[in-house]
This record gives sequence, C-alpha cells and structure tokens, in this order.
Amino acid sequence: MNVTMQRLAAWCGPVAMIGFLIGWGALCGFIPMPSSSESALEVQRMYLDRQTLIQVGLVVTMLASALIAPLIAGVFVHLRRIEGQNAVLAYTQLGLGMLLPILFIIPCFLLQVAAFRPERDADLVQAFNDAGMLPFVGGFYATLLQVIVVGIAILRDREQQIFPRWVGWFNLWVALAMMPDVLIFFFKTGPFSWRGIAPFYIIVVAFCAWFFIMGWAVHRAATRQAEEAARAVAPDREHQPEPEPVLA
Amino acid sequence: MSTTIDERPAATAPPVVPDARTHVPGEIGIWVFILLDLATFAALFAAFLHDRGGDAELYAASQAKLSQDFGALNTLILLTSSLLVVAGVRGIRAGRLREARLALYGAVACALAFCVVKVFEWGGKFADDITPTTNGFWEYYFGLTGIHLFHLLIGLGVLTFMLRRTRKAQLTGADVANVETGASFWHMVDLIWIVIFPLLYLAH
Repeated sequence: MNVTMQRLAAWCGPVAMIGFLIGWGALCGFIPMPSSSESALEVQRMYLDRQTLIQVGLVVTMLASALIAPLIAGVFVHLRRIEGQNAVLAYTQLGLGMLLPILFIIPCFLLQVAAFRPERDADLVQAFNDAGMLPFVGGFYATLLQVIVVGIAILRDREQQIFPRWVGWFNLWVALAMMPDVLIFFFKTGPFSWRGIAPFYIIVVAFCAWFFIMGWAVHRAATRQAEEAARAVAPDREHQPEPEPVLA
Repeated sequence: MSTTIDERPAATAPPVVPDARTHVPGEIGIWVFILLDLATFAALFAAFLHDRGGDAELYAASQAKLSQDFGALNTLILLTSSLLVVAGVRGIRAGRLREARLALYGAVACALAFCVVKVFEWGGKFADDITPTTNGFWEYYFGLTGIHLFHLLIGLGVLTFMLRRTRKAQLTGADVANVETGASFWHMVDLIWIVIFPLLYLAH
C-alpha cells in the first residue's frame, strides 16, 4: 500500500497553487491581471520595466504547473476504485486533467517571448502578450468537462463513498463557475474581460479551491483505504505478539 | 414521452419520506452547491454595485432603456413555476403522481415562456443597436441575465429529470430525495432572478 506516495501526490495540488500565487502573483505581478484594454506602448512599458521579475515569475509558474499532474493521478486512482474495471469516467478525468500543465506552460512560453525582447515593436510585444494571457485565463475548455466528470463519478458512488458526496457537488459548482470564461474574447474592459471578476477572480477562487479540496479528498481516501486494508489483514495476525505498522 | 397516458401511473403508494417540516430537503451536498452558487452571484452583484457607483449617470441612463414590463413578466412566470414545483414535490411525496406530473409540466411551460420573453427582450435591445459591449451597464445586463438563463436551461433539464420520476410505478425514499434536490436547484434559479430583477431593472 503506497500511501506515502498518494499523500505526496495529494499535497502537490495545494503546492502547485501556492507556486502559481508566488510566480504569477507575487513575481510577475499579474494579480490583478494587467488590463486587456491597455495600448501597445503601455504593455511594452510593463515588460521593459519588470522584464526580469516577469521572466522569473513565469519560470516559477511553469515549474508549478507540472505539480498539477500528481494530484490528477491521485484523483484518478480513487475514481477508478469507484468505477472498477471499465473506468470510463476515471480515464476521461485523467486525460483531460493531464492537459492542464500544458494549458499553463504553453501560454507562459508565449509571455516569455514577449519578455525576451521587450524592446522590439510594441505591437508585437502586445500581440505575444495577448497570445499568452487569453489562453492562460481562458483555457478552461478541457477542465470544464474534467470537473463535471469528477462530479458525476463521485455522485454515482452511493455504495463506497470513497469521496464525500459534497465534493461531487463542489465539482459541479466549479464547472458552473468557470462558464463565464467563454466571454473573455468579447470584452476588453469590465466584469467579463480577462481581468474581470467573473473570468478571473471567481475562477481563481474556484480553481484554487479545487486543488485544495481534491488534495484533501485524495489524502483522506488514501488513508481510509490503508486503514481498511489493515483491518482486513488484522484477523490473520491475531496470533502474532506484536502488530506491524501498516501505514506509511 | 413515448408512453400513453394510460400506462403512466396516476398514483402510487406514498413513499416512505422524512417529515417535510423538519428535514433538510434533498441531500446535504446540493446545499453546498447552492450556497457556493449564491456566493458567486453575490460577488457579481457586489461588482455591479461597485462599478455603478463609479459611473452613476451612465448606468441610470442605460437602465432607463430597460423594459420593466418584460422583467416583471418574467418575475411572475418564475414565481409561478416555483409554486408549480412545490405542488409537484408535494404530489410526489404523497404518491399523487398525476397531479405531480401536471404541475411539473406547468413548470416546464413556465421555463419555456421565460426563454421566449428573454428572446423578445434581448432581440429588442439588439434591434436598438444595444449590445453587451455598448457600455459597462449593458455588459452586466447581458452577462448577469445570460448566466442566469444558462442556469435556467440546466434547470429545464432538472425538471425533465423530476418528471421521469413521476412515471415510476413505485417511488423510493431515494427518488423523493432526488426530486427534492432538483426542486432546490429550481428554487435557487428563481431566487437569483428575484435579486437580478430589482438590481438591474428597478434600483437607482
């Protein structure tokens, strides 16, 4: 029983989000997001003024992105326990979830291009900035189905209750909260632009909460699974003088 | 939908259900969902009030172009739908399935009527060259009513799910809990509109 690895995987989710807050937020200074209605010269000025900080912040964000994968694997392991042999939902979750690191790393590469030579034509800097910001904030299309699938799988699990049922409902809310992300292409200012409350702040809260709550849920499920396994073997060991530690 | 009326049970033995006056309707998890969704809308409403404070004249001038009649009509339609959903849940809890079915079909009709009114309302705005990008007020107007409409369309699916339960020969306590969960979602959709209507259409 590899509970230690599962617990580490569970912790990767929250750590990834903290990495995002440090890299994207503290170093890049992208929380709040730079305005999507700024002129090309203003965007260029931002990259000229804070070139190194933005470059380092993006590197931290890219490193943190990979930490999403272990938690997705942890969720997969327990969804497959729910579904058994033909785990369609678990594999869908796995596939869509594993796209997440790419969906953050590639936009960061495009922003790195903008930060690489900020002295070039301002329109080009702005174009690469747009090319990075739009998918970074708006690239939720795989994640939408992923959280719906997780929600459905948890709510269908009436017998084992491997994850608490409210976690299933929470996943469905995350899906609903993400929907306004489709609007960022249509607005340069206001509540539905890429820095607006609906596509940015609400989703940041919902997305970060997902990694903390799913990390907790995977940690809990792994611990319970180990306890059940320990109970299952316990009767055979009754004649033994000292019980072995099974956890860890 | 393929069955004739004769094949559908008009009534069934009342399922074993907890006392409606003391138990929390549906399952607990739906209330986590509802509270999170209401908090999401509360954040959007707060942002609207904040931005309106920054440009009160523009927001007031834009608001004057809204049709309060359409808004009030849709409020009435949704309140009626909630009443019908209450009647539907009562019917299902008591095993009076025909009554529940009629009430829920009525609620579906209300939901469709809401969409028709919305088409005319939005259509009128587009005809006057008002779009979501016209100014901040219209961005909120189309955004908030659009997100609400999306909830309502999900609610239509939920009502259909509830209707299917009225065709079962024998309902279990779990069926009733599922129906109550669906009804709770529908009432939330209604409740959100009851805040959107005064906030966007009436308040100065």
